[in-house]
Amino acid sequence: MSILSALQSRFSSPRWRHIAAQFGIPRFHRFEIVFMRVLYAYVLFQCMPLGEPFSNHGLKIAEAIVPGDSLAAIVGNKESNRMLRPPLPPISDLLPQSEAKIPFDAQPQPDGIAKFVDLTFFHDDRFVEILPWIVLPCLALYISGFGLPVALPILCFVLLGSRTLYNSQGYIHHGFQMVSLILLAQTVVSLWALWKNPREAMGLKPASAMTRHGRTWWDVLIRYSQLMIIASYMIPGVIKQFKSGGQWFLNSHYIGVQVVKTHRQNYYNNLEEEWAPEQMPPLANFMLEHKNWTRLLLGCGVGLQVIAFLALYNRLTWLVFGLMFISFHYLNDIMFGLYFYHVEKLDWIFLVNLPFWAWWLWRRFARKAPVALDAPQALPGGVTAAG
Amino acid sequence: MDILFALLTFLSLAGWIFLRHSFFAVPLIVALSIWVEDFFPLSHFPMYSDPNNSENYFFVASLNDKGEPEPLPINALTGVTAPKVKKMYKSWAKDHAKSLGKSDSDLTPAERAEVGRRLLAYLKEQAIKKKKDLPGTAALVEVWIVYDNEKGFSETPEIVATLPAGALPVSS
Repeated sequence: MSILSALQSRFSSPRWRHIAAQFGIPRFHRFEIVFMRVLYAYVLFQCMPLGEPFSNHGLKIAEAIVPGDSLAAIVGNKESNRMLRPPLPPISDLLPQSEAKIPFDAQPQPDGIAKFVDLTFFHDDRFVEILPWIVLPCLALYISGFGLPVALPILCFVLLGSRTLYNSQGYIHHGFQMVSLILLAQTVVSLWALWKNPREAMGLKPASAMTRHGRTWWDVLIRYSQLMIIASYMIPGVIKQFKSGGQWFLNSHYIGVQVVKTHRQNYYNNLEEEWAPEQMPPLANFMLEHKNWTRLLLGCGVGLQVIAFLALYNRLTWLVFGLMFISFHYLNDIMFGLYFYHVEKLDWIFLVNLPFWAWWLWRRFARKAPVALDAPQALPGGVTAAG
Repeated sequence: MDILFALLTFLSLAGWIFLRHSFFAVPLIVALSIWVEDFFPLSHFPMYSDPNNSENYFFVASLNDKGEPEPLPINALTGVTAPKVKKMYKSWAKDHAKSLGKSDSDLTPAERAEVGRRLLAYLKEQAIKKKKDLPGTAALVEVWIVYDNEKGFSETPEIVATLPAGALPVSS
């Protein structure tokens, strides 16, 4: 018996089959997929380096919806800008504003594909001028559900290419990694769907079962987005155990030293008095003087990262873990000044998935016609494929 | 560690292909990211991964008449933040050490100064692009923060490199 057959027979008991099914690709309702697509397209727009006017007119666009000067006043004030936090990012980060043009015209320390390709054209004014004409129609296609195998590779090239150039200056910025990984995964899935059934992939035919378990390619697209989120959380949880020689938990109170470092670096950015180097941040002293409390608190955060894969079990675990991840980011923000607002948005979109829960509660309590959490059921038929 | 995560990458890939279960994409991406370290959009996210009782940071200063460093608002002048200055120095020092066939922790003060001067020249170039400049003789200062259980915190600055006023920036 081959190794593969031996493994397959070992893991074919009812319990393992249940676990495999739970951690497999679920079915999504059509409205969920639409909401996720629209919201993710919004986040993608915010991440694209379209330059002016898209990068500095977000407030003006928002004021067309919320007339008057109140929004400008809110966003201009540090306290009121964060009035929705928690649980949401600052209001300025929710505005319809893209990123500025990539400010670098060289790649002295090439990262990723910059090792093989010159990406400095993302800084070229002539290219940046035509970029909105490429990106915005692609985002429109993405939202519409048509032509994704055309739109996604283009969006993927723009986002990954531009952020790779940004990361090729000798330092790595981590704020766009998760959104880029999701876009890459969705691009791969759309091309797989194009190979499987071109008309369906292009949106010219209703989605049908494309996997052996009766999942559509949309189900696969959303699921792989979730898988990329979970993987992104697990990476720092896992690496900490290895880089510290297994001592991370015991040494975690020394993060207090890092808090001082962050405080000092904040000062030397613009020499603002609130970060004056004569001050010692109270949190740093607390962490080092109360080692065990610190170890417990930080250990919970890292523990959450290590067990992140459990989030994939069912809709309830997506919700619970999604909210825990958002809380984790909020605590990192207030304790260390470390924030990842785009990541929080992705947690809301693909894990917390509020549209589903609003609909599910309405069906259960208002319509008195509850819907099972594992609905909808698998589609009949299904071509054998990766599930 | 490289060999372990390379092995885990291939095992996960095999599981994903042969067992045909989407879940294997998670260990595949985790293992691959840790193995390759940084290849956008993959990253091993090394921040805060090895806390210990000492940590360093860098700031950029202008030397006064007594040769003492007076801090400059580096982000306002160049658009490069202080954390990025440190990351750049570390990355450039690692590459320079590699070209010399040694570890970055074995660089001599003169070799560190060479890296620091190149970094100051780069920052000067960024400042000029923003129609500003690094005034006077610019200095890259490294500060080590050490925590002792009995003595508490101490911070020790050291000038790593200087760039005289009027030195031309060199494009990287």
